[in-house]
Amino acid sequence: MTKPIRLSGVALIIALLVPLATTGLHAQEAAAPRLIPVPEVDLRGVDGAVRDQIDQQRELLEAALAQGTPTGDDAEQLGLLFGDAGQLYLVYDLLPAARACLTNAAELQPRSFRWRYLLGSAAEHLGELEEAVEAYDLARTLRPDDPATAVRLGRVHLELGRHEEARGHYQRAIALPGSTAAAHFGLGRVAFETDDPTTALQHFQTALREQPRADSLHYHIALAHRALGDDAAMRAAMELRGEAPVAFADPIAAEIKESATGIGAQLLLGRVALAANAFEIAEERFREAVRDYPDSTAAKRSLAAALEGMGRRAEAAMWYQEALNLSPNDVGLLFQTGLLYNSEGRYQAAAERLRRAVEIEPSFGPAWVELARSLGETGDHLEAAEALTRALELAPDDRNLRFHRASNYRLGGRRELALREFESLLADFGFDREILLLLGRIEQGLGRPASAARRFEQLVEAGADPPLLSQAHFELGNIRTQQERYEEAIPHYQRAIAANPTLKEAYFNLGTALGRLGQFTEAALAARRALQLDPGDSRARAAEVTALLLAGEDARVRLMLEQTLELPDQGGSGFFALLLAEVLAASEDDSVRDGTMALNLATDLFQRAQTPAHGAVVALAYAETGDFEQAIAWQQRLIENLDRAGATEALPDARERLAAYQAGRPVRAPWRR
Amino acid sequence: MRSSCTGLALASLATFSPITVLGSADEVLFTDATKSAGLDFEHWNGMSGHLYYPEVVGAGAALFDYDNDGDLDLYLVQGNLLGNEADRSSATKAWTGDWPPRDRLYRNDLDLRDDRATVRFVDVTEESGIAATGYGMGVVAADLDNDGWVDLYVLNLGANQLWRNEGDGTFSDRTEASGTGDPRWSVAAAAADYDGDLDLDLFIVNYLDFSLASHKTCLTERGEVDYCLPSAYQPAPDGLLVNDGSGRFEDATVRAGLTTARPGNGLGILAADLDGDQRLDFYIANDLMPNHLWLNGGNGQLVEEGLISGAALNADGEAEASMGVAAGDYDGDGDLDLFLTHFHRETNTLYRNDSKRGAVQFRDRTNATGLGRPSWDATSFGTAFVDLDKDGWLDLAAVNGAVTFAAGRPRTEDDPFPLDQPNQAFLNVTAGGDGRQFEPAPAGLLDAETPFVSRGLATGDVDNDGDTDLVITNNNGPARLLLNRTDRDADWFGVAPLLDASRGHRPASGVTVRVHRTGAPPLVRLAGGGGSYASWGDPRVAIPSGGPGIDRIEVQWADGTIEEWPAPPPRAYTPLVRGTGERRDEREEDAP
Repeated sequence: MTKPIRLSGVALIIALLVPLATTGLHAQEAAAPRLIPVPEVDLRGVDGAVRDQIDQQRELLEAALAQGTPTGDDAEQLGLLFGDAGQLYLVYDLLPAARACLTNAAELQPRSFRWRYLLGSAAEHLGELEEAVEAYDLARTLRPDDPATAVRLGRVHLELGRHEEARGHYQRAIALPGSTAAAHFGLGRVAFETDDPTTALQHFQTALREQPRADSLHYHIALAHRALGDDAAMRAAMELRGEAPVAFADPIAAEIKESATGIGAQLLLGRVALAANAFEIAEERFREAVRDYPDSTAAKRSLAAALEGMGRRAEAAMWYQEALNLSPNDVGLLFQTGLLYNSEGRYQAAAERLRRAVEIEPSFGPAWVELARSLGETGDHLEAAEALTRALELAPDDRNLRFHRASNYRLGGRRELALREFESLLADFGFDREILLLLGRIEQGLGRPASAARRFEQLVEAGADPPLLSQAHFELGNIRTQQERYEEAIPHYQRAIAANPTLKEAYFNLGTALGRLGQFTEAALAARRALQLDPGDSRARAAEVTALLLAGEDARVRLMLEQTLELPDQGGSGFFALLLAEVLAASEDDSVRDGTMALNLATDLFQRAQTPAHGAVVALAYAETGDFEQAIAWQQRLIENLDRAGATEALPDARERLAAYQAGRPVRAPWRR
Repeated sequence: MRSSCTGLALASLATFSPITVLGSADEVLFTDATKSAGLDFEHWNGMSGHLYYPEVVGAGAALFDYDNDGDLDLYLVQGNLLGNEADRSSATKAWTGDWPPRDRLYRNDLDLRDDRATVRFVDVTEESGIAATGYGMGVVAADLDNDGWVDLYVLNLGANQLWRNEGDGTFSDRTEASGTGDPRWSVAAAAADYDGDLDLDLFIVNYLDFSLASHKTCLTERGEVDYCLPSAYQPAPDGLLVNDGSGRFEDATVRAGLTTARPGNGLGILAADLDGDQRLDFYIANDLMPNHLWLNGGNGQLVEEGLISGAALNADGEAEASMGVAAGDYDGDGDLDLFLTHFHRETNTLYRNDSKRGAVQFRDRTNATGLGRPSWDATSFGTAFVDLDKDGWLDLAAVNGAVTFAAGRPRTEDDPFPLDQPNQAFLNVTAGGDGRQFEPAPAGLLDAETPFVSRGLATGDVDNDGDTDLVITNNNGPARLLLNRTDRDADWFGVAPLLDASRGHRPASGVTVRVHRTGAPPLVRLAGGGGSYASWGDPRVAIPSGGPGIDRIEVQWADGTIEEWPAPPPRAYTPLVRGTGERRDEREEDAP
């Protein structure tokens, strides 16, 4: 018999918190969780490792409780601490303390299936069957299709003599994975207790077919035969009786049970070492446990967790997978593995595990969220949004989930959906600068520049942190650029750069706007800044050389292009080579031109890419070498091709060049046209 | 003989008043008469911190009439020191009496004045000559040598002892001469006539193969040292000793077939006709192993049919940690049902007897009768079917005390090994479905101010007022006497089935008493036969005499013979001596 005698530190702090939570003086306090004191447990005589572990958990709780009445994320965190403590007490059979901790955990994390389920288990072990029913019922609302909950509800009702309720839960359990045999066994028990041995026999036999290793069923079959007066069948069945009970899928209970026996001590030592940051010792303990208990999921899972904590993720992933091989339907394990893979950037593998987790436990909210992350990272934004929708069914008021769903709608091209979601977020949660920025971008994507500009201007007017302000100006600059209002675009880009000097795109677009206004030197400078921020950005490099060419800096351009072509290819080398050939063939600067080099380069490039642009440069080069016959021939072929292709807009320039070649004149600085 | 008493009145015409049905459980009343009766026995288990298993197992008590004065005297079994003499000084509870500790015999000097009885127990151990200084567990009180005086058979950790009642207030040790000194760890036994030869044989229940040399240190899942569970040791086989009529016994264990079954960790036993074939059967409560039901074939053979009968395992098909056992017709259908007491986190278990002719059958009705949940947290030992509220329906008493430490329970210097638990009673009430249910009686009904570590429960009418009183033994604690004070004015009658009355009294054991009533089913009661835990109770039967009129009393003897007598007079125990009643019928299968 266990009796709470005195309050521990945890209990005392809770005792102080409870009045705060229940006085109702302030609206926020009125909604504060109601926590109950945790009974003191006498740990005298208990193994030192166990005592240390429990003491550590107590200290964590006390520290968290000392922070005052928890709300929001703090409440979640505290719930987790209480849940962990509850599990620990459960492992060591300290049931009253386990019950109190799990009650508090469930209060603080009301959507946690695990705490409700374990609370039901603690109450059941304490013989508090009504409390067990209540906890399991609440667990059931969180995971309606959990087989273990259905079986346990059936069993508790059976123990309470409520046959109809028991029958209902067992019937529900028949269709659930991993509980069919247990459900039939339970239905047989109900039938037998209600004096229907015929039905009982059918259910017992079905259970045995479903789970032939459960040879204890022969005993029940024998009793049913006896009740039906079939003595021979009864004795035959009794001969087959064994000790193996009817099992059902109950990963949480298995985890607790496994921790409580045999291997528990080894795992315990490892966990204690882990808690003390003695990683090497922890790893050694867990490896011993894996060696001694090769079929233990918990051992492999613990080793993986230790390795993960030590940052050895690849090894951790391997051991998680080993654990999963033993318990492929362990939802917690699937989730942990998915989490690790996500953090490693192995999104496909993560998504695969997380999908299995939510298939088994559709009400496992965190798994849906983590799955959405995997999917979003692999570009499956609409699937990610769907996963977040499932998570939102479990937590409809979660702002972050709604935000991420809207973001995924946007990235997945469902702009109208994203717009509505973000607007409803603004309506529900008030002004939000980030959402305003996203709404502006969506409006832009929907071709509504005026509305978009209003959103960005609203953001600028409201003031924002530099990164957001920078983004808003950048977007406004883009809108004005698209409207060819370059004079208005330029100051926005400049403000965007002032707020965030590392915003490469702003430099790039500023360069474009300046170029459109003929300010080529300034445009080249802007492009150079973008290139400095990202030396591998070939677009920025192209923008810079183009601007310099337009500014008449041909010699500089030649040098830059020659240097660029000596660099490892970072993309765009073909473009730069062709441009170099063009500059060598057609620069107005005599010191820059080199017809032979241009021709060699151009003909070489044409061998690799026979495009009109390449053909045109070959013609330019022939003209520069004085071979107008070849220049004319190449230009005529080019015109024929353009004509065939219907590229009429390019024909006037092409014909103009042909006329120049026919007149024996090379073409100069064609890029200025 | 010190008291004046009504004695065992002869049958006579009687008048009956309507049965008084108590309105609520609150009206059940017990008075703790321990102190007023002079009962000063303190059990001592010698606990010294080594956590020797036997320390938490004993001990029991017997209510019996050793001086044939018509009232129940009391024998209490004592523990002792295990291990070295040096451990005596480190015992958690100091021994204050003369060394060595020994069992005690208390004579009941019942004082009847103004129609009210006062119980006074006088310690007569010294003059009785009983020197039982073994490490005691249980006791059986029966006339084992057919001399009309009830003897004592004491079960020990080590050799059991037979104390022969010399008829002059003294006892002599007849262990060796009788051949009853079973050296194993015995906890309980049943004295009953298994072979129908009109003397009482001994079915001895042995527990574990334990010795100090084989003592083990056991750990909990928290790594703390605790008393072991029985699985730490091998079971000790039970034994059957057959009486030759003179008090000498022959070992019939093999001959009777007891070795055909796997030995169990036996703790409790009762003898009764459980399958309705008019032969005496034995039911053994085994700790964490399937219980045994030895059905009597009538040819000297016992056949173990526990599993077949459905009374070996609970409804889950699991063996439970059975300690005590009781038999009684709780549902009034004319046969004896079984109640088993168990470890905490197991329910106690009620097996309803659904046997039909030729087919023994029990059904676990624990949940249906409401007995499961209230017993979940208790480790129960002694138990009995008793009509606590005198409504004619058998209620249940169970006395409790842990054997392993409750996880996390605070320990103190005074009580470094707290094992105490409250006792319980369950009242048999009308319900739907099964027809009967049990409701927990008010908490504390059977407790002192603070609970003890209870073990034995001996039941009997200590003050001869027609109801059942209780003696509760407590491990490392005081024996307590609780007198039933429920509706003291209600009418009653009593019977005392005797095998012979020519010389003293020879109480029968394991006989079935049927009280036939006008327009109502018979009331069925078991007289003698043991049961409970390590204890032996009153072989007489008291019945409230209100309600339907009593037609006749029928006694089914151990050999299957059935005799009947007219309704006995009220407010007295009427001896029903075998051979003096009207023979009713032969065994059904033997009838033409």
